[in-house]
Amino acid sequence: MEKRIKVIIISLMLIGTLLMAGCNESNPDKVLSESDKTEIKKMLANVDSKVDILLFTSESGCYSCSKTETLMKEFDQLSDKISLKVYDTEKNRDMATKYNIELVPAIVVIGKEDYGIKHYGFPGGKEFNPLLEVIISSSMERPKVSEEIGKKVNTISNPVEVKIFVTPTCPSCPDMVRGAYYYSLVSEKISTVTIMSNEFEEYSKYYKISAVPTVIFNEKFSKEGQMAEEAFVNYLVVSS
Amino acid sequence: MDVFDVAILGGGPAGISAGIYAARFKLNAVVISNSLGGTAQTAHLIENYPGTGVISGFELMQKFKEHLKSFEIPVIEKHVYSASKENDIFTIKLTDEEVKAKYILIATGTKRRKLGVPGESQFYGKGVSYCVTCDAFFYRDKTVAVIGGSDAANMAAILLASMAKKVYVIYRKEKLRGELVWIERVITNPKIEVLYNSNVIEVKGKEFVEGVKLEDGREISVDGVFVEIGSIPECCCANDLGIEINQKGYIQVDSSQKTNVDGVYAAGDVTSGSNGFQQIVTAASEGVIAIKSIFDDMERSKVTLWKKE
Repeated sequence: MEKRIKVIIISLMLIGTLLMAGCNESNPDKVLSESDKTEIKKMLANVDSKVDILLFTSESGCYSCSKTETLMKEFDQLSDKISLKVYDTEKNRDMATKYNIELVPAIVVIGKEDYGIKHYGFPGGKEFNPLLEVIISSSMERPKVSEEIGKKVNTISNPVEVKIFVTPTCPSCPDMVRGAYYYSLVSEKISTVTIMSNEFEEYSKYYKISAVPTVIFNEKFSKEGQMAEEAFVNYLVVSS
Repeated sequence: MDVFDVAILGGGPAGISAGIYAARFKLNAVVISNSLGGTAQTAHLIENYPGTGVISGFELMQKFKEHLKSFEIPVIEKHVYSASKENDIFTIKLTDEEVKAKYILIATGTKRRKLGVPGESQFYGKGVSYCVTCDAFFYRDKTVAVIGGSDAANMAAILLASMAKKVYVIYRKEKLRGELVWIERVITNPKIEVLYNSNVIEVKGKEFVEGVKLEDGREISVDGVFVEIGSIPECCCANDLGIEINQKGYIQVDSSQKTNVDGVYAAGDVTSGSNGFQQIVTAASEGVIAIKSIFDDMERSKVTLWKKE
């Protein structure tokens, strides 16, 4: 079985209840419990090469910056191959501009190359697993797709940014996020941004979000609910 | 290609419990589901699954998944398109591969029932929702309607009342049904108003939902509509294999969870079993009974083969 697929299946099983409350009840200053750390360490053993995680925060105030920084610092300690760099967006405007940071906290994953993976908000609830999986997958080469899908992906003419609005309690959101991350790994023309709608009310209102998952393709098309892979790829093609 | 002893179609409480017991019976089994955890994951709170106290549907189903994983039963997370039977072997067609098995256990559960009124589809994602745990957040300090009067509707109303300004429960009958615990919480919640004997005939709005129209002519202004009017069975492959379906659309099973087709068993909410009482605990139980029946069948067939030799 392909290593990447194996990782996804294992993570589905192992880390399900992680971060549901977004805090470690026995120690409120920490986010991950010892059992969380043990499971994540096992997962991170699959990391092939170094992965940089860029965390953008703001000193001037942010709903979940502090909690997200605590989580990512704890995460950073769980593998030698993970390297966390924390940037205050006000003090590091060049970096924030380079990675087009619109909201904080923002997590940017740079693995073997920049696969265009970004997450806005505290990655808690059901959204931790897809992020963990893509951190591992980004340490590997781009995945190979079937000939049929490859042909379609090759017709994507211009870069496509996929924005996925989610909430931490949405059961169908992680699959949508996984699918989008996968295509970001497949094609250098596709980037994916996950937005925790519960943290960014105004941003969600701007995009008229009232259900999750909602996917915005290149600011052109909006699609609510779960989507079949074929439909997702078709949207990628037409929005490019 | 390997031929599994049993292919379990569905990854909800019935399918996962079946997978666990299949492993215990040393069957060469596979669980196939494009949504491992099933619709039980969307339950806001589960308070009646023995041994777990109060737990969210998501957390409970994670525990199911973890338990399944401990047995190293393969899980294929793909959609099942069709099934066929030839020479006593079933071929199950998935998105881009086929799986072969000697037995199949259909545990595909149900999908949400829709109102079927004007405006419902038009405003899906624009005020109409079928997932309260996903979308309740968007209705903070707003007015919403929950359509339905069962446990799911009652739970949805309670969750929404923790965020919304006002919650209408609109139900076609004269009293709510389901567990009395939930009914009591609904009728004593000051934010919730129950409209009995009321049928929604239209969801109204412009860009987003603005209200619902009732059969008696009343119009209720709401910002969101949560549809909780039950579910309909997802009888995967029933037509392909000639499986008997009862008048209500559920797969007809006997007390061993066997269908009318040799080698095909069914369990959980998709079946006529458990006296129609669709609960996580009854689904799990049906999955387990089905696997035991399949195991017994296999054992019996071995004896027959030996006698023939």
